Amino acid sequence: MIYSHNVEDDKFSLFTLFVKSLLSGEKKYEGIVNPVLKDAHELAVKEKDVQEIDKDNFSIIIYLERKNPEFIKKIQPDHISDEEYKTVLSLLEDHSQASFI
Amino acid sequence: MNDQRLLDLHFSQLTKAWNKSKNNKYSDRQKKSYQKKLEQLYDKLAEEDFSTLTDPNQIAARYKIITFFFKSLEFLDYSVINLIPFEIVQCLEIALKEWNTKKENYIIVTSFSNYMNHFSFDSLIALNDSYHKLIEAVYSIKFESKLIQINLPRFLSRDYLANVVLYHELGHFIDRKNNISLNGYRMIMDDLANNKLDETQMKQLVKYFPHFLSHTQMIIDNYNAGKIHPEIQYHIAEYFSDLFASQYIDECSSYYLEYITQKSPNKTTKHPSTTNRVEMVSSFINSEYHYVLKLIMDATTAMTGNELKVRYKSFESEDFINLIPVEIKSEEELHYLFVYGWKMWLNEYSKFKPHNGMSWDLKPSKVYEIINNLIEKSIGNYIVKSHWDKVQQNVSA
Repeated sequence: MIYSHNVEDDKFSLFTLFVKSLLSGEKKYEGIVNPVLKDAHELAVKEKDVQEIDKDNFSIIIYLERKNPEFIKKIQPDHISDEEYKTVLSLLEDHSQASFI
Repeated sequence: MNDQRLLDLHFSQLTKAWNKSKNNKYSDRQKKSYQKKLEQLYDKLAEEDFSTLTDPNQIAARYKIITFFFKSLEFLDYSVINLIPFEIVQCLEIALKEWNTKKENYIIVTSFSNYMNHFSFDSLIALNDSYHKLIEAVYSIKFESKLIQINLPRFLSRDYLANVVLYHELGHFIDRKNNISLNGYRMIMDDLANNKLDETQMKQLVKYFPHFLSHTQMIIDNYNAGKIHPEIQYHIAEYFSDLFASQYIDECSSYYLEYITQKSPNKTTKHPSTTNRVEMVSSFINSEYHYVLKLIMDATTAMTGNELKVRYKSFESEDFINLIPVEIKSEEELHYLFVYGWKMWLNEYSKFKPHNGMSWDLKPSKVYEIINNLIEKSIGNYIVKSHWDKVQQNVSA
């Protein structure tokens, strides 16, 4: 097989594309990216629990919340700066799964 | 430059595929409507001059959209009126209805594989709403329905004994849609981190997840660093999907699983050992609740608001032995029809010949044909009758 990936890889790659497009000036992606960051923030500050966050982006939200909880806690979901989007992008690009090998 | 030319190549490939698929005929309104959306999407793509796209993100977006388009065709091409295994899909739709509490629009579609044991759920579109959001952002086209894509072996499309495992594949959709296995993973990590497990529970955890025999601390450390071990999540997902299926078809998928894996005692990356899977289902059916079973049941309730429980209704009947379809009275009995079919195949096999005065040698392949035809006919009759009842209710209302 020349190439394969799973649905989780695909979810992360699409969300990464949304953040990159946002950073290159396409503000229409704010409506897709910001709710995910809002859920991660609210999960981190315990305003929401896992049952209440967006199910479709569940793995991304859980990942961001666990990967850098201090950063996620600090963001203001209604006012996210380009610098903060860049930090989100670097967290997403650092995504990998653990293995037993 | 190359990127634009390769995007042109990708779109040319799509054009060739679409020219074959655009006249597909479906039996229902939802698929026709989905096809219309694809038509609109194709027109939008065709209008664009890809050579003017300079931002790599714009090219990546079109690549993803064309991938989505191909993925839709991959299944729709096999879900046309004369190919789709209509009866089994109807049964799956009835099971889906119980778990689709938000009444989202889903269409179950199937594709055929040449590989004999290839039953699988393809999650790419059903579980990734980002594709729909991307298409809406780029082309302002909103898909009203999402495809639940299930693969089954081409040779078995009308085999209602083997196809009980499709309930398991539907279980994968329910799991991934609701993040049940991921939540189960979190619950195990939470129990371990807080030393909540007694010795018996720890033994049960190790039995069903041998990964915890020697890697427990590493798994916890990785979890705290934001990394999960997919193998453990895959295994939770398999156990859940087996349990999900057994709500409707009892232990029937275990019969088939044990045969095709030859009762393998070994786990693989994607699947627990067959021994463990069969035991898990047996514990559930016999209400013998242990730590791992309860954990999966709790994770299910927490994420769906729905509980894992027996959802079929058994019946006694001699109808198949008399070579006539069973008159099914409810959706619960419809699911049990598969259990009934398996009972016929496993235990009542020898009755067909004397009961019907057959003087010739009745071969297994003939009984196989009889049982499958009768199951198909029983489902078909129930569907026609329930549609008719609904029409009558609407007329008299």
